[in-house]
Amino acid sequence: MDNNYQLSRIHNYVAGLMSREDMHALEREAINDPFLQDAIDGYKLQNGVETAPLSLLQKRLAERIEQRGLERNRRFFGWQRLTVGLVAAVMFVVVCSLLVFRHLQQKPTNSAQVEGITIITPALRVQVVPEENSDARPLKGWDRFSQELHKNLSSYTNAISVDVQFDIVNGHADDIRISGTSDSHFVEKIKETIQQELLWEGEKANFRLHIGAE
Amino acid sequence: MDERTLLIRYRQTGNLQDLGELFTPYMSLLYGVCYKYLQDQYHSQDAVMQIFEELISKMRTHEVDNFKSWLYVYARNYCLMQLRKDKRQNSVPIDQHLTEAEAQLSVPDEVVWLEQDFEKLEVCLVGLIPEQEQCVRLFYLEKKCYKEIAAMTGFDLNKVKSYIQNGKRNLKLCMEKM
Repeated sequence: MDNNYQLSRIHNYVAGLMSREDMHALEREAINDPFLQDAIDGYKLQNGVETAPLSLLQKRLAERIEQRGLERNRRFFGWQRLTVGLVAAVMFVVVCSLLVFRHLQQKPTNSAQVEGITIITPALRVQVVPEENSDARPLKGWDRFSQELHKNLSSYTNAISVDVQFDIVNGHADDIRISGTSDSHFVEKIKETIQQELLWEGEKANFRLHIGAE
Repeated sequence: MDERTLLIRYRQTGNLQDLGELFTPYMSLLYGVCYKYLQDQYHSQDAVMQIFEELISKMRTHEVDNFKSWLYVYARNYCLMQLRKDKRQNSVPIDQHLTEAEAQLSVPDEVVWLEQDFEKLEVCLVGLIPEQEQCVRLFYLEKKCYKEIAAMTGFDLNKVKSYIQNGKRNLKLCMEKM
């Protein structure tokens, strides 16, 4: 039943403003509802319903509910959470910096291809092992370079290893130096392959070329 | 939103707005109950607020089917505990209230009465002590209010209430035995 309605009934009952029938009805109701009965007894002892303490209670309750909301916000941004957040942020920045640093360090070694590149064509096995100061790479890829080598060296079947060095000027190989073999014809063939129809990336080439029959 | 839904929602979310919505309709009744036991405006107000504070955690862990009954029992026990704690405020005889309140907690009977039930009632009514019989007859059968009964019998108002409550309980016990 509506709270204000009950309160006004209690008020009328305690103040003697009710008809006898209504009083009896409320008493019958209260005899089966101890909550209502105790409340009536309480207001009787207080000599009636006073609105002031009830209004104050309403206000206190509203403030309490509001305060809880503020507490929640305070707790949400509490020093513990802020500390954890700060530590997490610092760790995130450190990890990101390490990753970026590592990536930047790795970049030149990737282009230098220190690990070596092995390209296998139907007839030739070509392995390129760049030195650390080499950043050269055929613009059309090592596959194409190997195919060109295959075309030019089709008459060679013996395994051979040579050191190749050259500079790259405007994408073209310049000042090609090949050591490790006395076969001048072979050297010329490799020079031709490096120069013919091949454009290069990077600035300096310095790699070991292992060529062998597959 | 009904009480049950609010209870479930509060248990799940802990949102104090929901608990406030549940609590507010009973606040004036609660104040009356607390005043009955504590007999002091400020203590009664504090008690109502303290009950609300305790409900914040209790309502999240207890499954309550009937909030009104639960709240009443909780509030009454809270006030009685306060009285026990502070003997100086013990201006109300606790034992008397306990007996009264326990007697009131019985659920009203809504069963269909047969012919023999009325015969039993008459026998049991006669078996009550005269004051109880007189007050019960006037209240239930003649629909007189406490004030009228007090005027007709010359009993004190509180006595009238007590005779009716105890008479009703004795009547019920007697009829169950027969």
